[in-house]
Amino acid sequence: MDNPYAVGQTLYLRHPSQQDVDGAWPAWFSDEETTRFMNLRFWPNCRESQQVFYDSLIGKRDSLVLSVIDRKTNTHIGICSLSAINWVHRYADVALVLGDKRFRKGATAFEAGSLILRIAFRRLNLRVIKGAYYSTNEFTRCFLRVCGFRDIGAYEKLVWDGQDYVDLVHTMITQEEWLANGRQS
Amino acid sequence: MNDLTESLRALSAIILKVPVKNLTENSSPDTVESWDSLAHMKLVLAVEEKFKVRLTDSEIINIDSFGKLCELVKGKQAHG
Repeated sequence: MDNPYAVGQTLYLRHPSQQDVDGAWPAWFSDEETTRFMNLRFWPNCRESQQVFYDSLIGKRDSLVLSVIDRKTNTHIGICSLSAINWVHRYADVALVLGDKRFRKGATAFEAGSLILRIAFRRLNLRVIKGAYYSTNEFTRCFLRVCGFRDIGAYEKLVWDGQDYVDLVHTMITQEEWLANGRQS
Repeated sequence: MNDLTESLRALSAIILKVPVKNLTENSSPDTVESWDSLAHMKLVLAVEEKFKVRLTDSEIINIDSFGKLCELVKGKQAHG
């Protein structure tokens, strides 16, 4: 493992590296399927803009962006983050993208989500993690639900999913709920 | 085969969109094309709801075959 920040059974998370920028990372955020439910899908990504984003991460303390690495092959397979961290109210937004489609099977997404929540609640001692999903995005709805998030409301027909205007559903999980939800091994 | 195994097989077949007879103990995300991350999470939610069990993080991650899922749920039910 290279500079691991959090280690799971089949994955580990680490700070993104220049190698990630030079690898597949930029292309994930141009891919139509991967970005279908993201607001940034309307414009193509490129290595130069990825570089700018990567450079902005150094020393940043209001968001935590981590590369998801497959332990067996040491392959960079995705990105997860806690963003808009508010250190007064102690909340943040969670996001996960599995860019490498070969790894979109089994428990991979759940394991990455489980690791980022453990970091949020144990390591950073955050109180609340928020999430949001397009109502037609079944993957994120199930992902957040398995991780213990609950829906708290929705903006009706706010976002365009490529076919229709759909609801943007907001979700949250508190530190207390996470500790009590029976998922901790 | 007991009732629990058959019940799990029927449920899993619906979620994985495969014929019941195709699901064996060795069926896994590597052998069943439709067993992607979404299917895995739907499987967890459906099993927890139907069998009134709660799976931990590591149990969810360790479900690497249909046989392992059966073993896990049987163990959970046996221990209440």
